[in-house]
Amino acid sequence: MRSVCWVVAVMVLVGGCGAPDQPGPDVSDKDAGSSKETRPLSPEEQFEQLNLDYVQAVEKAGDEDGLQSPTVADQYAGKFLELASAHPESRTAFASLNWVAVFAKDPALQNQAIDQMVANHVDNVGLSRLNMQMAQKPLSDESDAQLTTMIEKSSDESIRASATMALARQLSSVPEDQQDEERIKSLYQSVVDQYTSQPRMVAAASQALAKFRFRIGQIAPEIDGEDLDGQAFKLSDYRGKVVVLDFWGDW
Amino acid sequence: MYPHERSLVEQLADKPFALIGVNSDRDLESIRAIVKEKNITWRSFWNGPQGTGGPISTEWGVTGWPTIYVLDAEGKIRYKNVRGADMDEAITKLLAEMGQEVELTHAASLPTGSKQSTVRQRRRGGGGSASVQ
Repeated sequence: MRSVCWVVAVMVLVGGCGAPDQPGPDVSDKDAGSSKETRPLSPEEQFEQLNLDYVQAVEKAGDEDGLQSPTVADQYAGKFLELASAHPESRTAFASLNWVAVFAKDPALQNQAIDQMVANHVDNVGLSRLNMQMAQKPLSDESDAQLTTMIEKSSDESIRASATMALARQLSSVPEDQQDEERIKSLYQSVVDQYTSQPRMVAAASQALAKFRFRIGQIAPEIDGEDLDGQAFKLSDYRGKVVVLDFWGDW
Repeated sequence: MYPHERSLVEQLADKPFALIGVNSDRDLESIRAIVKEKNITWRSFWNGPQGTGGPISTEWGVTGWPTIYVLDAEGKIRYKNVRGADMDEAITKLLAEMGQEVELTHAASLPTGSKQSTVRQRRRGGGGSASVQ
């Protein structure tokens, strides 16, 4: 991989495409000026190059979606992780880690990336988008810890809110009788109480909270309606009886 | 469904038991005709002209039909989506909590055949179900 970068670097310089280099000769980079042919790619350029290489590798494997090439994705995930750890605080690092979180097939690689995003980029708003994806995933000890850290450490409301929603969703993905109902409820409640700047999430959280009223063990909420002949009646009219409530339709 | 439900309503007529429907058909006239034609003897709320998008099913978060809730005498939700023999068992248990011992048996002519085979017919899926969206 590294050799590819160098080749491209050389081509760019020789071709003289007027790459938007840093202006002025006095660049802090130690290697600047040491060798004209071997200017190292900036982290951004390395990221772009890795992306291109990945696309080519996937195309070569005859699989444009990359869906059938988990090994290729994981192989590149390793390279993106390397790039990220070379410049851990940079935007490129975040983009690289995000690439791994999204494209890697191996959960261990994904977790490694997300752990680093949480450790070094807890205020990067890109985490909000990641959290929407996290919400769809099954609960694990790792994701629980990652999302909890975001909720505790991030100074950005959209990140804290989306992490709270994602964690509540993950906790809700296990069968109903195994759920930590109190924890799920308090997470949704905290979104409603604390994140008024995120109206869509507040709406989703209150909707989720409402569903708890219809769980086993709860007193059934009242139904005050009309029968098929237009006569008014209530569900509570049947207190004192065992009631089978059947949502039905003849179709 | 109808024969099993009708059988329950008949057998439990003198017990503290009620089968209450929430009907989600859009057209009130045609559902009234069906109630007569198919001898649906129990009472139903009407979910309104929006059908499956009506207010009652929306509030209850119902997205699959049929959806069943079984409530005890206090109005507490005790079972969800029990069908066939499982529904019988739920009802029997809740009545027993009230000191009412019942034994439910259904005619072999129920569409699902024996009582055992109705157990397999649980949950969504099967021809009779539908969902919103």
